[in-house]
Amino acid sequence: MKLKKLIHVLMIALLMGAFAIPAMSGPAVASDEIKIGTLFVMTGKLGGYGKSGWQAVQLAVDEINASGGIMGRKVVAFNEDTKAKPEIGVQITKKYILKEKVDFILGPTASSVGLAVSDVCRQYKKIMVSTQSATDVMTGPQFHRYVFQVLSNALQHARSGASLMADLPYKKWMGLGPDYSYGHSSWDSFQKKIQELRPDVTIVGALFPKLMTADYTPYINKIIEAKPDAVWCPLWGGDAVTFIKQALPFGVFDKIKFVFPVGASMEVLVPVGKAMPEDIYMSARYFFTSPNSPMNRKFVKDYYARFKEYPSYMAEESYAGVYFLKAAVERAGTTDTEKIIDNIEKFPLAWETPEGWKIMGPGDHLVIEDVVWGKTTYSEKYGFAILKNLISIQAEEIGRTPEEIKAIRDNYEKKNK
Amino acid sequence: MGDLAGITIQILNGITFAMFLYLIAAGLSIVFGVIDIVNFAHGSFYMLGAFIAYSLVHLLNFNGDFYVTLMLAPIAVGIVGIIMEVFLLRPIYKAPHFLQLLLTYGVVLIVQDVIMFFWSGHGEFVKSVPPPKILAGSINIFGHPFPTYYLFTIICGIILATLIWWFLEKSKWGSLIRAAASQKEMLNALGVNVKLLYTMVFALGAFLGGLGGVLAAPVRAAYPGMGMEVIVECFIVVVLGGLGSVRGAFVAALIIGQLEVFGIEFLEEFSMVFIYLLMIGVLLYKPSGLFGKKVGQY
Amino acid sequence: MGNSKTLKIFAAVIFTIAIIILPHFAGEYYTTLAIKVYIMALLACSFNLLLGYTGILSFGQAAYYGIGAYTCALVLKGAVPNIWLGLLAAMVASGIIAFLFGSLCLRLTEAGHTVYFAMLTLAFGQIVYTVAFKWDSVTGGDNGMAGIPAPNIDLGFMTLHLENVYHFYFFAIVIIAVALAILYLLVHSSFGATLQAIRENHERAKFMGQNIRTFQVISFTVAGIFCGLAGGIFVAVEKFVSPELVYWSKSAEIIMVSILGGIYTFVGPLVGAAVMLLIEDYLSSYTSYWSVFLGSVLIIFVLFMPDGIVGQLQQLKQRYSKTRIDTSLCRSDE
Repeated sequence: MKLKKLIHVLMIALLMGAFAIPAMSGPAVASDEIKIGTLFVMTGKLGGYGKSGWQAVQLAVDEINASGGIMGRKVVAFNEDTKAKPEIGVQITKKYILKEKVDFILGPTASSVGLAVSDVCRQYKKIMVSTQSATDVMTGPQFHRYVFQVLSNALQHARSGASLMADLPYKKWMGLGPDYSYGHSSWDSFQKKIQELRPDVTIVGALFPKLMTADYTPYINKIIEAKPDAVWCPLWGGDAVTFIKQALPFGVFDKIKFVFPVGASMEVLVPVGKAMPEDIYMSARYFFTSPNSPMNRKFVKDYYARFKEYPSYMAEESYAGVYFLKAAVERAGTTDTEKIIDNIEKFPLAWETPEGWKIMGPGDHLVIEDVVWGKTTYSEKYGFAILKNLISIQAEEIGRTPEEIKAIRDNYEKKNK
Repeated sequence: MGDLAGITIQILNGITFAMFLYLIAAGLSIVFGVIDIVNFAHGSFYMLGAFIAYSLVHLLNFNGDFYVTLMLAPIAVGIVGIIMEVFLLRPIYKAPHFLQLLLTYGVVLIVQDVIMFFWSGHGEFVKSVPPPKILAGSINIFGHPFPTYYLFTIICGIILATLIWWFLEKSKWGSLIRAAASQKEMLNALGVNVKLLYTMVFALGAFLGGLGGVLAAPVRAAYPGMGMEVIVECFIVVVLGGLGSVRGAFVAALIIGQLEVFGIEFLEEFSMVFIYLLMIGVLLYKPSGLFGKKVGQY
Repeated sequence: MGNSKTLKIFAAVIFTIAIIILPHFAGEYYTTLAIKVYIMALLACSFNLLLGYTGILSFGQAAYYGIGAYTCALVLKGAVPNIWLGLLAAMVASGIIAFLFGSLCLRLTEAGHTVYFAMLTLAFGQIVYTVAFKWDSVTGGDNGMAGIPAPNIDLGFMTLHLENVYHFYFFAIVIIAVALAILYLLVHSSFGATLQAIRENHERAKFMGQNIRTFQVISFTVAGIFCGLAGGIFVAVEKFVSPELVYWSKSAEIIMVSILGGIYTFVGPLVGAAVMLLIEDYLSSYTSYWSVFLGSVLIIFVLFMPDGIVGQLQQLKQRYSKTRIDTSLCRSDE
């Protein structure tokens, strides 16, 4: 008897609860501040990127607030450590959106985290500014209208690297990259482009050790045995440091030409220091010695004064990311997500950054910019290797073609139906 | 697969790898054999060893004296081991296994954060420990360069393995430790201070873990999370070799070292799976491991 | 005694109503958190079927959780995105694998050392992790799988939009309540009694003519099935799955939650799940060093309250009602 009554009570409660659902989702209260939630890797081997990113965001936010904020509204930024784990990234993003009610998401270090966070932003219709995730999958097959990639991505680096390398005598190529989205897409794009430009090139293999591998020794020996002329090596941050240090005593850099599409970051150059082999090809999204513009000089000076180190490209991209938001909000005249996106898609948004003017591509939401390459050389002045013989590969050569952008848009429209 | 020289280098790489594993696993194995505790925090000892070595080398400028670091850091880790044994493990020797396991996991969590707290402020995220100058270069093996430091590791590993073997099999303390592993009541009756013996054994285990960390630091650098990564492999070494058998751990480490290297050589995709499958296979066929005594004896 | 029973029913009703009306006050974020607490509760409870009732320590329950999660994700992203099919497939897949692994490896527990079995489960968990990590074309590798849809459910009188977290909440509590009820009935049946007999004394149970291994395998399989179910629900609410879900630290977390709450009692792991996830959420907003607190809590529990929160409360209750210790009541709490 009692049990029956109990079940009845529960059933009624459950139904009441279920019917009351629609009443619950009220509009979020608009606050006076513009909130940016950033997600960086702050600890572990890859923590250097996050440290640079978060420092630069703080610098940018303080500058903006000192000059009156964005449309008179104060900007605040939060940061949490994703530990390079996509699962943690998803949790933090949800917390930012649902609990902290942020207006924008910025950052994700590591493309695996970036893709996961990007998908949460798609679900909740929040703008995500990718300043540190460089896989071209993000603005390619998994493109959606809420994502903006303000840094040159894997595709641009691979294409620029391939067009640079096509003129050099290296014929046997090998790949060594981290085993996740960025590493694979960098290698795939490079391989495709170099074979297109140089049909006589052969590929002798590709290796994909896990992100944050402790010991690269077996991979190093596999490279030695494969005897390639050159290796395309999209390892980054602490992984690149570990790899270079472990590979040095094996003498691989004497015999094989290494090409690091994202090698020239402070997070690599400084820790490797004097040990860095000469004349390795490296690219950077930005190198603090160039360009010699007032904005860059000021940025480097302020950054150095505050953090006692030279800005890495991840610092500059994250700084540029905050200013992208400022430019986008001010041009649209609102913080409303959809209006900002419509505004950018209607007419490309250009904004000034330390590395020069950047333009946001209205079709695929990928930044249009040049990529700088150079060769390593040790600098007594700085105490670490810097880049010499800088060559900048033009944006038009390395970005997506109009057909590719159209294919991405079509795919997106189809998915949305 | 390359030529003979290439294979030789890969075998040597595998042995180097095995020596790191052995040093860490030996401590784990001794502790298990005598005290009957599965110590998850052993990986933390390894990590602590590497980080303390980093600090000694960089902050105290022991740069030229890598060998001093090689002694000091493991001793520091040994002291941490003593503290852990006296205050945390002693009260729960009689508790069920899973509680002990959980307690050591608690220590893992704490050490992880303590390391993040104390060693994250320097702005350097790959905390590398340079090897001494003489060991920094490479030597020639069949025309291929091979890092001198790796050779140094192999020699260190073999010397330490011999020392450990001598200590356990031939010395007075060693015989007590072996006795404690099988019959602790008898030792008590003979007036041996079993409590002290346990503390010393645990400290020895921690010391060896720390030593593994210091030796590995110049190759792998020190970073948070290195303990979590290594502990599972160490368990495999210990279980494969036979719980409590230090000799077994040596053989198992050698096998796993080769498997790791040649797994990547031939089937990079699933190299780690081989190791787990080997362990499951051996345990199903011979549950006590390669060199283990009969299960249930401890 | 009758008084106490009425009190219990009253408390249960209040508790249930509280759970049902929780989303009205909690907001979207905490509603999601609540769902995760229930998922963890289900995980811990099914783990406890092994450790608390059967006496076998599995250090690889995350494997079955992960298998369930990936299976459900594949179904939802596949041709027939149906949540029932997804959950069913998750349970079947993890159940089958748990059965195979259990029947292959459980004979080691008979030898008397739980550690071997713990290590085997750990190794198997790591195999599943490696496969999830490396089998890029199916699992998405390190990137994991994102954008997993949660399809609608037509109930006849209303449609549950599972994309809406409030709707999902009711879906989840009903499924998890049913699963927990099944587990509860199981451990309080004669099957559960036999399991406990095995836990207490292998030899005697054998003597009584019970086939120990069969019981253990069944228990292991059931635990696997419910872990798989938990994984399926998780994927549908998080819309994301990555290999991290299968890593051994996840298995350790499940064990932690169970012991925190108290094994040997049915509700212990449930309480543990709630306490742990709430502490984690609270602390992680304030400091990035929250795992030092968690580790300390864990050590304190092992040293001073090895019976967990619920076990400790029961002891307190016994101490303060010394005059009328009702043994039958204490038993039924188990």
